[in-house]
Amino acid sequence: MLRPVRGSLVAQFHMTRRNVEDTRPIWVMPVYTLIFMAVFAYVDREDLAAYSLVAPTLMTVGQMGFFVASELMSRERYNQTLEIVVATPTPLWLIILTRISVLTSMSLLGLVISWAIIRVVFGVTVAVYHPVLFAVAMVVTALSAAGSTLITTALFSMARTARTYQNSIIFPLFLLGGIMVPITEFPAWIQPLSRLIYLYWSANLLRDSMSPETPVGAGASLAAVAALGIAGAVIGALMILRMLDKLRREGRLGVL
Amino acid sequence: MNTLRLMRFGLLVGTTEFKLFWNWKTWFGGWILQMLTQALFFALVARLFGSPDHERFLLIGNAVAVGAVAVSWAIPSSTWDRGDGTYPLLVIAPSSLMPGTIGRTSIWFVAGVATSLVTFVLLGVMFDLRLPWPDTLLVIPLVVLTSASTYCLSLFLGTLVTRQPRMRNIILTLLTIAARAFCGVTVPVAFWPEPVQFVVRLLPITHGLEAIRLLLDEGSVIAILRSAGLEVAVGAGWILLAMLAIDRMANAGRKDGTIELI
Repeated sequence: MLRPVRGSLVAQFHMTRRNVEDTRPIWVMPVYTLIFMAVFAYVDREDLAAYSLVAPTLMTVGQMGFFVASELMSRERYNQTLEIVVATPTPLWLIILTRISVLTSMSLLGLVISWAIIRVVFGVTVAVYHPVLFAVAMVVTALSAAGSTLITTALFSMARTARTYQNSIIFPLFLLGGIMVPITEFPAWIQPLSRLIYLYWSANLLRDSMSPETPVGAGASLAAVAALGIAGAVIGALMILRMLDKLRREGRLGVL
Repeated sequence: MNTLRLMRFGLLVGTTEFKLFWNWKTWFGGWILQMLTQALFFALVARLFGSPDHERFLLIGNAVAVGAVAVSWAIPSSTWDRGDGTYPLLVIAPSSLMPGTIGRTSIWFVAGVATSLVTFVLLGVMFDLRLPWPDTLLVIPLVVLTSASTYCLSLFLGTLVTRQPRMRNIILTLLTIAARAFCGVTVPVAFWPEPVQFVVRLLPITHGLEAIRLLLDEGSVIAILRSAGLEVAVGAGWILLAMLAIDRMANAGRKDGTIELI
């Protein structure tokens, strides 16, 4: 079991590192820091810098998952390599999940770029008061993102209509996830939906780790991020199994 | 006459392509939802420090910025002939690449105008924006002007990107982020250091958005006309550069054998 996982990790890393298009969110999304930080500096509220670090970081994770990793299965079908991968004795969902994890983990680089922009352009240093919580939250976020992405990976490789809305869903998710503006600004009826999105819990955890006050309920928030990731992975794996059955039955495994 | 005919055929290709992406339902339910939530995402930042004035500033700025996002699709669409394998055919045709490229990509200018105006109306209603009436109607020609000059820059960048098609989406995203950051969408242009301001004044959106803000804040007619005039000049400059560059790029590709299908 470990060998194919390691092989998938290494293969995905090498496939991605030289692909400009696949690493685009990592270089581009953190530049959004400029926009948020400019507003805070303009109104003399540099104390809100943590927001301009957390939002672009989670935007990078979300984009890498939603736009890059979600394409993995479609790409295999397009390249006519899905049959070969399916023919191996390792479950397809495990290979795909591992490969997605590489991409969502790489997206954590976005944090470094955002931090550097805040430091170099605005001369502000964002302090991390609770480094352990911060590190754990980042790692759990990347893994949870991989789990949730397994659903969209299966969906986009199957339903053509779903892809039409691929671009449209990401900003509603960012808004609902409260990654920049707390969800208390939204109507009360919409707020429970936010709790179903890992971004909501991750944003709160990361912001708490940058606040001098002692974090409250961090354990429960971490559990929520992990639980949403696991739920996503299980649903995604089931979707992939069903999809494989259907494609095999119809003889369309390698036909997009 | 021949030029117009080429542009018409290009537009036909562009429109057909656009319809492959969107129909009315998916355009409103998909694209406009995306643009509206994008505008909300950036505008609601003002809630973090409780400033209704800055929220209005951000709402107006982002209504214009989302139009620029749509128009900037002219950048990748300039390179699609490379992907379709039709670029060499256009290069060997006894005409400049300009009319066909303008025709094919100008559908994104139309999409940009529509995106801005629909978003502007929706945000105006959602946030009950205080707008002078009927002067606000003049936002329509100013949005057309701003989108047109953004299109001119996108066309120029599109001609450059034809040589490096893999960079098309990076350039598109960086342009839209730069527009939001520096061109007066998020904070006044004067916030940035002098050298940045100098560059920003050569970019589209800056003066057009300034004209829109002056109009909505009941500024003087002369100031509005001055800003609109500057936006025209900026757009004219970029389209001139695009015209100078487009065939040169194709010829450079012929020279080093890089006009083939990618």
